[in-house]
Amino acid sequence: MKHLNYLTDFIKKIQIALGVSLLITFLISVFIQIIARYMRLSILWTEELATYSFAFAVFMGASVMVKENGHFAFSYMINKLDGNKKKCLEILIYLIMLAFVLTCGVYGTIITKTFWNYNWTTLPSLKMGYVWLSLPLSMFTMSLYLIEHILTTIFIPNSKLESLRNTL
Amino acid sequence: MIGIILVILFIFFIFIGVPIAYSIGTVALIGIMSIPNISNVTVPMKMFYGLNSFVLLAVPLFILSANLMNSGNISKKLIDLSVALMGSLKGGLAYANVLVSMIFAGVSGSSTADTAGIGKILIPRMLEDGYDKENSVGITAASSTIGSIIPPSIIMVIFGGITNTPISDLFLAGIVPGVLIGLGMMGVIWFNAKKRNYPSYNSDGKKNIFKLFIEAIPALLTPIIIIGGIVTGWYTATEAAAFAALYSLFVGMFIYKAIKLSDIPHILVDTLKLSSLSLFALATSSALGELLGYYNVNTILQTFFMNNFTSQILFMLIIVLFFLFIGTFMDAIPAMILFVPIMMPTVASIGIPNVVFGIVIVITLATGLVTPPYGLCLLIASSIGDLSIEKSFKGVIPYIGVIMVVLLLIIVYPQTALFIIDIFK
Repeated sequence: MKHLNYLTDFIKKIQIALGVSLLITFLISVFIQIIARYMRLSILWTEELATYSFAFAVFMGASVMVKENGHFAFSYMINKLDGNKKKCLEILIYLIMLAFVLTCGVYGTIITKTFWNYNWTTLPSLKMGYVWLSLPLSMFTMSLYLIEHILTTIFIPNSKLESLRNTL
Repeated sequence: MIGIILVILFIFFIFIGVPIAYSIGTVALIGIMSIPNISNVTVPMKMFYGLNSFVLLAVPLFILSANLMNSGNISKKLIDLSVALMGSLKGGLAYANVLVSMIFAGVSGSSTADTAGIGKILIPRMLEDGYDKENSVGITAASSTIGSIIPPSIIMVIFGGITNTPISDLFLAGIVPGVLIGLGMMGVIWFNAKKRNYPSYNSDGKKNIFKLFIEAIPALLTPIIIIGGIVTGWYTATEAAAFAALYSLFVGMFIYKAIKLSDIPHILVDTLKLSSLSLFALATSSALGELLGYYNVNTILQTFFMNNFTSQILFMLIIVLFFLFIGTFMDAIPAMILFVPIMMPTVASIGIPNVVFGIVIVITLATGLVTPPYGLCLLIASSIGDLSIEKSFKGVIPYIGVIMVVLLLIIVYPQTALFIIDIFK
């Protein structure tokens, strides 16, 4: 369990670093676009770079929020239950999410393989595969985080789990 | 039949507590899998394409700019000025709460940033001054809905992006309804201040109004830079959002000297996390939108309305009730991505201008930010005030009444919102 926690913490840090770098990338791209327009320079790649960086960053951020249990949810039922019943419901929720992200991860891999060698429109030296990689990367890391949550819910006693929930 | 099963599944997922984005995505996946002639790769592909839009970049950029304003003391300067202007009145802090939300709305595109930034300062101050929790939390949450109505507004940018409506028109059309809602809320405070004997705020702010005003000038210039730039066509909404972020960083770092270089990574991480929540829901909503498109829901809706209700006002009232319901459990962005495209053919057939439809939807979904169980501004304000959601909502109800009155006014007399576009263009 400890090893899994270390691994997921490490992956989370990488995802945050990647997401923030992409956020900065698209911010800079938008500025280059504004400046280029006023200097009447024709720079076409800024919009494509900005949009792809943005989409990649969102998938990374969404993945990190699975690790932090931060996605918006209706908590009425969870708050009504306690003890093992609460644990069972939490595991059911994680399993539904896991089924979705694993399936999307598999199909995301198929898409990435299919489009790997396609090129960007404005920067033909870059492959579309790098962009589509955001799908399998985010979906499989989400799966890992969800597996961690499921194992934590199963193996950690109710009393400890409550304080762990409060820290999230 | 499959449609009914999917709706039941969706309600079940939401009810048991599956996060909303994942409930939408899972239903989309099951729905697409049940259709033999659509490939299952459509779901992740549509999720990606849903985000592949330059306009959407405005969402994290406006959130970044709001985070920088909160960290850079811009919100605090605006609060100090509002308190100095309104504090001496009976119920002064409550009036200041609404006034600062109106000013902050012109600076930031995010209502939640408004609740968090202003609530953290004003709710404790109101409680200290003798206001009850219900009203302190209620007025803070309710007034922050103005953040999505007075431009700039993230929700308007998204609506403009989906429907190809000029964002400058939407921004202009939001000004009058936003101001009317703010004034109406002040009216409720005036009534409550007399009934409940609200205190006036003792501060020496009044003597310093001029000094506070001078200090707040860099913050007050932001709406002119953002809205002015978009309306005059200097830059697009996305570019304006990027510019607002840079300007807030400059003001926070060099003028107010509240942001240190070491604070920036934390601000960026917060922006990434916060914006990815709504945007991931937008991605899964795009996948579900594909399913709704396959079942021709837009045509069914258009035929239904053309055969039964051709009255613009009746149609708009039904739309308001529908989005009020949807807004109770869904965030504004996915709600629009999912339902606005299927409504647009009907809107065109009935002859409602896109701008009017947009403003009505924006105001309705902004109300959803303070309605339980899932109203983000209500949740944030109630957690700051340490008050239950039920009691917090009780405090919000009179102000929702004001929003509904303004909404009805726009539905019946759209010119109330539109006349300002004619002045500027």
